[in-house]
Amino acid sequence: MFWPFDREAPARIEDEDATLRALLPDVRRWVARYAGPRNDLDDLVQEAMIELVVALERFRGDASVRTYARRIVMRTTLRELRARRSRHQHLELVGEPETESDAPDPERLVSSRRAIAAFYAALETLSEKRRNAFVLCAIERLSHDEAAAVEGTSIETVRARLKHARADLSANLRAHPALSHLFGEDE
Amino acid sequence: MTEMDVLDRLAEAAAHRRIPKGRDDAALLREASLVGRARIRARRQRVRWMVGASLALAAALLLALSPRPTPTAPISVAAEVTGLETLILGDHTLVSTVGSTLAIDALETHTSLRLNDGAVVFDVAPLGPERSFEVHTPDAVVRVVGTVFAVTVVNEHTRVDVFEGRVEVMRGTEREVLTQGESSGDLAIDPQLRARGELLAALRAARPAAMAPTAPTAPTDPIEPARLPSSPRGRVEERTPRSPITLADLRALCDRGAFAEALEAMENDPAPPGEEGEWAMLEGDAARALSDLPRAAAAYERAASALTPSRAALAGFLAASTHERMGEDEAALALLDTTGAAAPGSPLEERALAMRASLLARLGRASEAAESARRYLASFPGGEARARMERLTER
Repeated sequence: MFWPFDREAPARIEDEDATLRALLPDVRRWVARYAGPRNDLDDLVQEAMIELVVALERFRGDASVRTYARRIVMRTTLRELRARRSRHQHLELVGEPETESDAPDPERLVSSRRAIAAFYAALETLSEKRRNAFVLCAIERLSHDEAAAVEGTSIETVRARLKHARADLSANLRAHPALSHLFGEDE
Repeated sequence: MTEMDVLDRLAEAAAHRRIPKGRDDAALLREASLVGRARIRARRQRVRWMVGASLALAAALLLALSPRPTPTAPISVAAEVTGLETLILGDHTLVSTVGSTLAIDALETHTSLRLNDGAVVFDVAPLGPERSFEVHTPDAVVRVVGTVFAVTVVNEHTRVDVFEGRVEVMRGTEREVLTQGESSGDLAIDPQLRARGELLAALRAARPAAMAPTAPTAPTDPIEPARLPSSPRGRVEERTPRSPITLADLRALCDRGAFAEALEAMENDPAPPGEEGEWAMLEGDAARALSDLPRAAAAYERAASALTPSRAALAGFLAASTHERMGEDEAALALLDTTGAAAPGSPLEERALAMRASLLARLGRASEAAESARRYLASFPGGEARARMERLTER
């Protein structure tokens, strides 16, 4: 109907500022784990927090605030990453500089900045659903039912997405020049 | 290592990666709150505009397609959690209970609505002499020229409550004039609706006298225009002067996203001596939230000249970043330098130094940009802008 109306927000959070303050460290961690090492992390966190302010206005108490917030943060971060991909190099090596050793140790190589960068580059090739499932379960270490709650889907669906994500990532990493030799023993 | 081993190790390394510390959590939260609330308001305004445009289009189509205006089908107000629904009809505000059925019979100079069932508070904006506003119920007609009143209809019986101004109620040939605090009809009024009506009336009374209805010329309508609230001896004329708005009031307005109201209040009341800087900061925040960047920049500049050095540096940085957003790099640079935003000890030294280096580089002053970048790297070797600053020093 073409009746102009304005709704009042139902189920408002009592103290929104306190909620946002309490969530900020988690939001920073979620964004960092989702996006990987980047020098625009603060910008991504800022955008996630802005969207959270907007989203809390619509919060109806269907899930816990943290679950709801995580969902918003992941969605916003992914959107920002996609928007920024065309403007910037998608991933930058940030953090302490590495010293190249003469004989690279596979254990160290896996945790090196270059490997992490390659890993996040591979994550970017996944679909949103598979990426979310992998980040939530494999990096954030959420149980499948917790991940299902964040994604608003069933545990079986999360398991399937995780399985596909792992297969896609393995194939992608195997082809990566910085990591391919790690898979050598398997071939 | 097997494929899955490599993947698990990589995931584990990602999980244990150190999360870089944020630059300034308080500033980040403040900005997120301001911008987020501005987005909420902008979204609401867009929705209102679109709905308003649809209404205008539908009305135009209705006029074009039918020789005589036909009444709309009754509109049933959807249920919602709070039990009340706020409806905007041009300048007028309607607050309805769940399940009311309203219809628009006419929308031009003579607005006519039909309330078949339910209860609605009407906050009718002041109308000129050529305009009228009527609510038709199954057994009554309520006429008004600018007031706040409620109409409740149950089983084709009507109750009218007046919270502000004056209305005329016609029941058949019987005419009854109700003024503030009076009601007509045996039904009970919804307590939530009564509270809302009283609130709307109080808000109307609190508006500046300039917003009160202008005295209309002799009406042809039998109803007297509600020139002033009809409480005894003209309450509006005798009202005591409005107490000036305080800094806390302004903060509260900004905190709940009422930026336009905050700016309007600041225009009406000058800042008290000693608070000019804080007021200017709030003005800058509100203007920026409303995307009025020139006003925001000017306000932050005023704040920078009125606040203590530490706060002035913050204001200076905000002024500079606003100018930067407007593409005014020279002005942004000048502000960073004059306000000491990038000076050692400034609360935003890291960000200001990085901004200064970038501005200088964009202005073609490569050697100064490199110097500024080196200062950044010396002071903040692990800073977030390190990679960018390193590139500037290499040029």
